[in-house]
Amino acid sequence: MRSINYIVLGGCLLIAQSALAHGPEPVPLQKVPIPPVPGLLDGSDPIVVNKNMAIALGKALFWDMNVGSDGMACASCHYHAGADRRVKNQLNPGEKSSNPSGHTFEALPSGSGGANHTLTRNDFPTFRFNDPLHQESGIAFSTDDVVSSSGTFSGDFTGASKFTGTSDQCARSADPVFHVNHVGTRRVEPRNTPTVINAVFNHRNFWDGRANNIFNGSSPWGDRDPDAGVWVKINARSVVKQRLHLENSSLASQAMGPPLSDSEMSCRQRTWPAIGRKLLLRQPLQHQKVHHEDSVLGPFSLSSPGSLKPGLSTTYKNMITQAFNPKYWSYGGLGPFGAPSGQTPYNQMEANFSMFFGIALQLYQSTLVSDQAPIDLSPRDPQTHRPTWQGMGKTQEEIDVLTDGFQTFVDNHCNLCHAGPTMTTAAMVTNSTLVTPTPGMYFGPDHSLIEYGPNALGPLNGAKAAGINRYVNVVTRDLVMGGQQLVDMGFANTGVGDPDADPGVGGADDFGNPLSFSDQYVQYLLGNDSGILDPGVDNVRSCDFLTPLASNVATSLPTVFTQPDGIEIDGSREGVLRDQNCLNSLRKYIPTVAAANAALASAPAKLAVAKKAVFKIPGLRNIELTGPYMHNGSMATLEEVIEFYSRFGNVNNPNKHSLMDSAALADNPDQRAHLIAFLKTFTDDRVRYEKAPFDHPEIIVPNGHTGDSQSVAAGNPLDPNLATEDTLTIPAVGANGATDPILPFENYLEP
Amino acid sequence: MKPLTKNYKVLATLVVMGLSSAQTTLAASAFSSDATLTYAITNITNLSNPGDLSGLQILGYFEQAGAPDSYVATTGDGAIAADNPTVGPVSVETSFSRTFAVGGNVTDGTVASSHLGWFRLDFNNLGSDSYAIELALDFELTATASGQSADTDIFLDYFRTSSSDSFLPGFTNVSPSLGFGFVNASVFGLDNAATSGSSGPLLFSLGPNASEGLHADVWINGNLQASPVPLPAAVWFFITGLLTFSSMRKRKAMA
Repeated sequence: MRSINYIVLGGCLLIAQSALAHGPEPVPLQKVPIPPVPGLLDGSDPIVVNKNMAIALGKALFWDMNVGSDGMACASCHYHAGADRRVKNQLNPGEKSSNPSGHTFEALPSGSGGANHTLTRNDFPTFRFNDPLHQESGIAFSTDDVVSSSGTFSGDFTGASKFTGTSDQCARSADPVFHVNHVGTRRVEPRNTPTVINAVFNHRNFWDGRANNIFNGSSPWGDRDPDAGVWVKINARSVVKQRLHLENSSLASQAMGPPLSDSEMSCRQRTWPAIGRKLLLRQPLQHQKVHHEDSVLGPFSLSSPGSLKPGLSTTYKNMITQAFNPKYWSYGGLGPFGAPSGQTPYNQMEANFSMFFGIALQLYQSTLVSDQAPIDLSPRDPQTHRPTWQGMGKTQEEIDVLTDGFQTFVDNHCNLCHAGPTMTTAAMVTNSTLVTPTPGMYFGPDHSLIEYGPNALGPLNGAKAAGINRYVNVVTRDLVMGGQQLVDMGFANTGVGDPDADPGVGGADDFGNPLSFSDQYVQYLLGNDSGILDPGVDNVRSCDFLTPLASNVATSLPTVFTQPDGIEIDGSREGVLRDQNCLNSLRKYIPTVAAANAALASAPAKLAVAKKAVFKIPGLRNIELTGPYMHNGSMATLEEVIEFYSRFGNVNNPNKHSLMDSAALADNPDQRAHLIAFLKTFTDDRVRYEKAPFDHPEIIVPNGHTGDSQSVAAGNPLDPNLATEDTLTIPAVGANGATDPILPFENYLEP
Repeated sequence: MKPLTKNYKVLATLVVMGLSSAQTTLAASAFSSDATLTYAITNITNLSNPGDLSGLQILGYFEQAGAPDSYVATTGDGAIAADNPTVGPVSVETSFSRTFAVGGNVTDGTVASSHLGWFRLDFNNLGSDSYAIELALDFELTATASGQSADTDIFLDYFRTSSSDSFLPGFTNVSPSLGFGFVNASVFGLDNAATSGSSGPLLFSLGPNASEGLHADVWINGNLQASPVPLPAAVWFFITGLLTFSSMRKRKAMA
C-alpha cells in the first residue's frame, strides 16, 4: 500500500470521528444506579447485615483523625468538595518521575517552592506558555513538581494504644526530601488529590487505576494479590482464610492504600490488624466534634444545640458487630491471625479490619452522589433531552450563555471522554447500564425522565462515539498521536506534562504486573492466558472499539490486522462469538494467536498500547470547587484548564489522544467563557454548602508548619527534629450545612 | 452555703494537702463479665425398654482453658481474677448449670485478657437400648465496664458432637454452631450489657453404645487502661473557693 493510501485512510478515520462529533451529551445523575456489588448486601449470607450502620461506620472512619499514625484522616485530604484546597506544604518534587529532577524541588514562578511553601496565584499554572492559548508560543516555565496534599511525617511503626492518643508510637526523624534546613516537614503525595464525590461510579480508582475493580478484602490489588483474603469462621473452633472477590468495589480497594502509605497517613511497617487494634475499642471520632444534626452520625452524637462535643456514644467494635455478618468477627479463638512482636495475638475482628474498613468506606462514599446540580435539575427538551434552563431563575442572556457552553462542550469533543452522567468514560458500568435497552427504566429528574437505551446518553446513539455500549469493555482502540493503539477505557493522555514525569497506567503493581488492561489484552491476543490478571480482559469486544484492530479485507495494512495476517471473529477461541449488538460490526475481527505472535516481531504497531502518562479521566461534577486540576495539580482555575485544551495540551507525545488537537477554542474567547459557565452548572449546592449527605464532623487538618519554605520551627511534640505545625480547623456541620459556601481553590491562594 | 464544720475543714485541708503532694489523682478501670449456662433435660425416652434409663450415662463438665487458649497480659498494677475451678465430669439427672466469670481492674497500667471456658454435657449409651433425649441450653451473658478506659465482651458458641468425634478439649472436628451469643460492654457505649437466650428444644437420638454431646465454648475478653490523671484546674478552684468562702463566713460570724 502506498503512503498516500495510508494518509487517505487515516484522514477517513479522522473524518469519521468528526462526523460522529455529536456523541454523548451531559445528562442528569438523578436515579442513576450505583454499580451493583453482588454478595455485599444481597443473597442468603450477605457480608453486610445492616447497611445503615455500615454507612455510619464508614463515615466515622473516613473522618477520624485517629486512623492515621499522626493525625491524618482520609478526610484530611478530602474535606473540601471531596478534595483538598490547602495551599501550604502541598508540593511533591515529582517522585513518580523517572528523571533525577523527581527527587528535588524547584522554585515556582513566585520565586520560592519546596517544603512548606505557600502557593500563590502567580505559581499557577506550573507549566506555562508565553501565550497560554498557543503551544507554538514556547514554554515560559515548567516543573515536574506536583501540587498535591501534605500527609504524614511517617517513621517506623512500633505500636499504638488501644484507647488513647491520636498518634502511633513510631521512630521518627527528619525526612531526607521533605524538610526545611534539616527540620522535618510532613511528606506530600506525588499526585493531586481527586474528589471522592461520585467516585463510586468509577470502574477503577486512583489516577493510575491501581485501585482494582475487585475488592479482595485486604489490599488494593484485586485478584492479582495471591496472599489476599479474609478470615471466615467455619464453626466454634475453626476459622479459615478465604478469597474475597467483590465486583465494582474499587473504592474499597482504594481504601486499602492511604492508611498504610508512608506518604499519606501511616508510619512504615504498620499493618491493617494493627490499625484495627488501635481503633476497635475506641470511641469513633474521639477528639472531633460531631454535630447533633449530622445526617448519618447524629443519632450517635454526644452534642446538643449550642454544645458540640467530640466522639460518638459507641465504639468501632460495636458498630462492626452490628453492621457485619458475624462469621467475619465472632470467632473467639486466637492463634491463626498472627501476633505483633511481643504483643498479644490478633483476634478475628482485628485480622479482618481491612475488610470492614474498605467496605464501610465504600458504602459511605456511595452516598456521596451529587445529583442536584443545575445540569441535573434543569428541565430538558422532550426530544433531544438537552437542558432548557427554563424556570430556574435565569435571564435569557444567561440561558444563551449556557446553551452555547453546552454546544461548545460537545463541538470541541470534551464529551467523548467526559461522557455519561458523571462526565467520564471511567464510569464504565454505569454508562453501559444506561445504554442497555431496559423497558420501564428511566433516569433523570421526574419532570424530564430519560429512558434507558442507545439514546440515553445522547441522541442518535450518541454514546457510540465514546465507545460506550451495553457491554462493559475495559479496553478500546483509539487514535493517538502515535497512531491507532489499544488504550484502557476511561483513561487518556492529554499531554499535561513530560511523559517521563509520571507513568500513569503505564506503571506496575506491587508484584511487577502491568496496571494497564490493554497490556493484558495483548497477552490475550497472544494466547498467553497467564498474562491476564483482571476480569473483563478476556471478553473485550473488538466490535465496540473506536478504531479497528482487524479488518476483513484482503489488503495488508500497517496498523490493522487483515486477512493476509490471519484473523478470526472475536470470541471464536471461546466458542462464544462477540459479534452481536456491535457499535461497528465491521470491527468484529481479531488476529489469530499465530498472527498476533507474528506481529510482535514483524508489525508491533498492530499491537501497540497507549499507556505511558495515561491517566484516569476525571468526572467533571463540582469541578468548580475541586481545584487544583490534573493529576499533577498544575492548574489552579478553570480558565487555565480551558487554555490548556485550547493550545492542544502542554506536551506532544506518542500517546497523546488525537482529539486533543481538535479543539477550536483558542480564537473564541466567548466560547471559552461560555464553556466555563456551563462547567459551573455541574456544581451541586449541597456540596457548596456542605449539606447532607456532604455534611461532616469537625476535622483538624495539618496545614503546613510554623514558618515558611526558608525557615521552620523545630520541636514538634512527636519528635524534636520535626517542625511544629499550623492547622486548619474545618468545623462540624449538620445536615443543613454551613452558612458560608466553600470556594474555588484559587480563592485560598496567596495573591 | 452552710459553712464547713471544723471537722470537714480539717478533712478538706488534708485532702488538698494530699492532692497537692501528688498533683494527680488515680483513675481506675475495671470490667466484670460472666456467663451462666444451664443444660435442662426435659425428656428422656428409652425407645427399646420404656422407663429404663439404667444404661444411659449423663455427665456434665466445665473447665477453664489454660494457655495458649487463655492469656493475660498486664502492665502496672493491672490484675485479673479468673478463678473458675474445673467441674466434673459429674453425673447429671435433669440439669447442669455453671457460671464462668472473669474480672479485671487497673489504676495505673493496662490489662488485656482472654479466657476460654468449656462447657459440655455428654450422653453415653452404655447398653444396647436406644434413647430419645430432649434438652435445651439456656444462657445468660452479663458484661460490665467501668472507669477510664474499659471494654469487655463475651462470645458464646454451642454445638453438638457425636461418638465419631474426638472428645478431647481443643479438638476442632466439630459440627457447625447451633447458636451464637455475644455481648459487649464499653465505657464509651453501653457500659452494662446483658443478653440471655436459649437453644430451644434439641433432640438427640442415641443408638446402642453411642455417645452424643452438647458443647459450649465461652470466651471472655477484657481490655483496660488507666493512668493517673492530673486534677483539673476547676477542681482546684472549687476547693480553694470553698475553703476561702468558709473562712470568710466564719470570720463574719465572729465579727
